[in-house]
Amino acid sequence: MTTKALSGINFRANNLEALDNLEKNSIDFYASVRSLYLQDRQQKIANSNAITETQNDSDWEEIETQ
Amino acid sequence: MRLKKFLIFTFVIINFVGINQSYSIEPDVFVQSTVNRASEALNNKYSKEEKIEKLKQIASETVDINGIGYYTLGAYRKNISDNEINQYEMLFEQYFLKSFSSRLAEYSNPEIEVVSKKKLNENYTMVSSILVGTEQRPEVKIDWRIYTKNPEKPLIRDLIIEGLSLARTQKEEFSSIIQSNDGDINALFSILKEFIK
Repeated sequence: MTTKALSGINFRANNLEALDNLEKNSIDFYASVRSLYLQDRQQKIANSNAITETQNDSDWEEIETQ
Repeated sequence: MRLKKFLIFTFVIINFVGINQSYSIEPDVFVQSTVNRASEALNNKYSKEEKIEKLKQIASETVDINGIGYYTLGAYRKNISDNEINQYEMLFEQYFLKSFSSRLAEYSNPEIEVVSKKKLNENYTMVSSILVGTEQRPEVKIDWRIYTKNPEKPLIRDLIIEGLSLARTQKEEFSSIIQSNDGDINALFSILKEFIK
């Protein structure tokens, strides 16, 4: 439990500038962080670094046909 | 006289061939040249305001802002009027340029090297690159989704940083705003207007 909390604090400290930048340039900071967290999790579950395997192409194809 | 005729003939032929030749640009070359332009714009000899102006100019020439706008709006696009679509396009362009350039303007002299490319289909090629690490920050992997429907004018549609897609993040952000306002697109418009100010 303590380790988890400490790793959270450590993550925030290491990424302070990136998080500040994200907060300043987001119109919904909470939704941005949630999206980034879920994408990261999805990538870890897929256990793959190959971009072509983790990105969803169907959303992109959809805009061609509308 | 004969020589003159020959020269005119050659000139005409060269021009004709030149006009009809199509120049397709390879996506990886396009990314490298865009990155080089952006690096120049981020040179510390410019003030922050100058950097932002230069980045906006580069983005408006190399990014498919309308395409990203449609992707970001997702399924909501089907339910709104033409008038609202026009208003959205206008607001999104200003929002995108402001958000993109102020995000980037904080970096100075980034060094990006294009590593490889992978053609996904006729419309898309993924170009992989590395933001070279420095003492202050580690190496960062950046992938570029390049829209290649017109091979003579490739355009950037997404940046994927360490596997995290900026376009997808933006799409989920927009969708969250619309959802929490009972599906009212005008709520998104007013937030965008506020951001652009």
